[in-house]
Amino acid sequence: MRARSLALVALAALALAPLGCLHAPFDPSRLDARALHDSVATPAGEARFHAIPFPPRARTRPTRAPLVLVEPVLFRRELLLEDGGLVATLEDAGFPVWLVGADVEVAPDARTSATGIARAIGSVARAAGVDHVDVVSLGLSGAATLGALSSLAEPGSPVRVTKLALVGTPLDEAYPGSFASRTRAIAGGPASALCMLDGGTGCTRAFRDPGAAAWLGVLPAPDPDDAKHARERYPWLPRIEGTSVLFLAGKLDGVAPTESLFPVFEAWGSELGAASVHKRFFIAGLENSMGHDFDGFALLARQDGASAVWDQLIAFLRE
Amino acid sequence: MALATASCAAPELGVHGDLAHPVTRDGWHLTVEHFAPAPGTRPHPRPVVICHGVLANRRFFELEGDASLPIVLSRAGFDVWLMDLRGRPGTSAPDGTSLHDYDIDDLVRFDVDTVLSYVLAETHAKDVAWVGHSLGGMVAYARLGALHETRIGALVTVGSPGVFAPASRAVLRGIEAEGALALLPGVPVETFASIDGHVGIALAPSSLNDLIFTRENMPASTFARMEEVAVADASKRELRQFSRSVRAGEFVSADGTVSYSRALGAIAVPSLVIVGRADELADPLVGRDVFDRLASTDKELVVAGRAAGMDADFGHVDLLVGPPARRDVFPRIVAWLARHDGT
Repeated sequence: MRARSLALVALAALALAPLGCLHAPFDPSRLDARALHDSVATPAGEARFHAIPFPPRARTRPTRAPLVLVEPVLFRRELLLEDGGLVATLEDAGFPVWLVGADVEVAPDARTSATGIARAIGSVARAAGVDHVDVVSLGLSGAATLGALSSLAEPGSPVRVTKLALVGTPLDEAYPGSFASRTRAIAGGPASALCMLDGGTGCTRAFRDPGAAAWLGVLPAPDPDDAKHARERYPWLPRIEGTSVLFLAGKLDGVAPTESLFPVFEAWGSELGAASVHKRFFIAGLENSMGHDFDGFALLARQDGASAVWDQLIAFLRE
Repeated sequence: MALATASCAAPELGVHGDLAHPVTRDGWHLTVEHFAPAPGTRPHPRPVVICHGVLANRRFFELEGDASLPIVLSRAGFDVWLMDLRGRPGTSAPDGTSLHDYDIDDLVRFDVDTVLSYVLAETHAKDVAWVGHSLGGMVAYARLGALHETRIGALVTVGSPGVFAPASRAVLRGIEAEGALALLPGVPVETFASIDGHVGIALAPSSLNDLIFTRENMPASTFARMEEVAVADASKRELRQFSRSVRAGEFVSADGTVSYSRALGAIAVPSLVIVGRADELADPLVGRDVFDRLASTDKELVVAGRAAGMDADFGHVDLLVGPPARRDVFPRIVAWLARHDGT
């Protein structure tokens, strides 16, 4: 098991080696030849998406629904794949994980990403022969994941999302001081500026090698939807049914702070009876008996004690 | 007072204003401490009232001595009125009434009203700027929103939960201990804190301290001073109203019939909402929620933390006490008040 993880890390490192070049294509087949591929046509060309399978290591619940892990943007994939990382932890917990994301290091715009993620989820369900999946969305992928959820909830959709966990993911940025409003001023600017926005230390941990810092040289184009409040940006939220949701926020996360998630939590199923809405909001920090207050990177990085957060995630997925 | 007080002398903070004791309509004597604009400054026309939070008294704002917020404001030309809500040392209850027999509604209906009337009578100003920490901001929310108060022309709240989010287990655990209140005349926090401050015997678990402040932002000596002079007992009815509000998820009246949270939408005065990134009692999500609800067209939200370019992530108490507060928070309050001084 350990050898396999190490191999994955080595493969990931190979895949990440050319990242000094922005928009360097990511080849998921280097991780697993069984990877699935989808694409979305855009004016700028074809945006490609992947779904990489990681079968469960524990066989306690072989019938568990596929668990789609939507990759964070601007975060080194190898930190998820390393030994003891989130993917391995979920595999060990018995979940059939599919890692879903764009084939480039800088994500396409949110609408393209939403379409790509929805298609990838559909491919995963078809490959697994099921009509429902669970989804965990990480970091900056949240808005696109909600977009995918919206299309998958439409009548006639062949696949439903039973559980959704949003981990350290900003969803409503329509307020002064939001991450989107702060980054707008520096889009296209130097990598160090973005790191400084989150206090500095998180970036240092998440982008350890100098080449990886180049990921931050260009941010995704500003999304006009960032200026919309939750109920305007996701107007279907108050009536959403059938998906249990966990909002998991780092207490000190300056990129996806609690205040960027809470309006979506409040809107979620707000027009339905309380009995038919299953939602939870959890702040990773001292106030909830955790060892320290977490920032956004610490939610995803094993070295920063993220396993305590992942325990919360796994408990939710097992309910 | 009804509860035991420590016998040791309180430390000298070096902050002295002129004291007065206006009387509320229901017969309580409050305390107001006045700091006039410093000589040589250009006075701002709108007086500033500063109100403390729950389990605190007005001396909370004097812990930084010569660099305390009232002094900083006075030096910037503001006419500052520091107040004690009822139940604090130096205030007194009508005969036959316990010093700890009140709820938050009483503070809103009587204490805020009395201090506003007193300050406006003394200054002949049209209205005041209100600066409230924690509960001190909540009473202003309630007064402005539900009671349509017109004598507050500008509002600064610091760590004030206008709504209650269902997130903090630490707060919920405190609520679960509510039953123990039946055994006591009040909640003797002042006594416990005073013993700790004077003798160094901590009677509160360290997790409680983590709940109210971020350790690296407050020197141990300042914390000891706070325990000695700035911590106040609480009323059982006051805490029960907090419990009811936490359970409801919104700030409600003691009988539950009025939602002060919903009335936030009636507040239209210029407002500055400051919350601490690491505040466990008033998480930034609460500040955002209040900010969104306010009807004010001139409103500002500051999440005090590193992501906002500050040197520290702020907790509940250290938003207004300690070197990082003096460096990062005080200047923002002073500058905002200067822009909203009634001219």
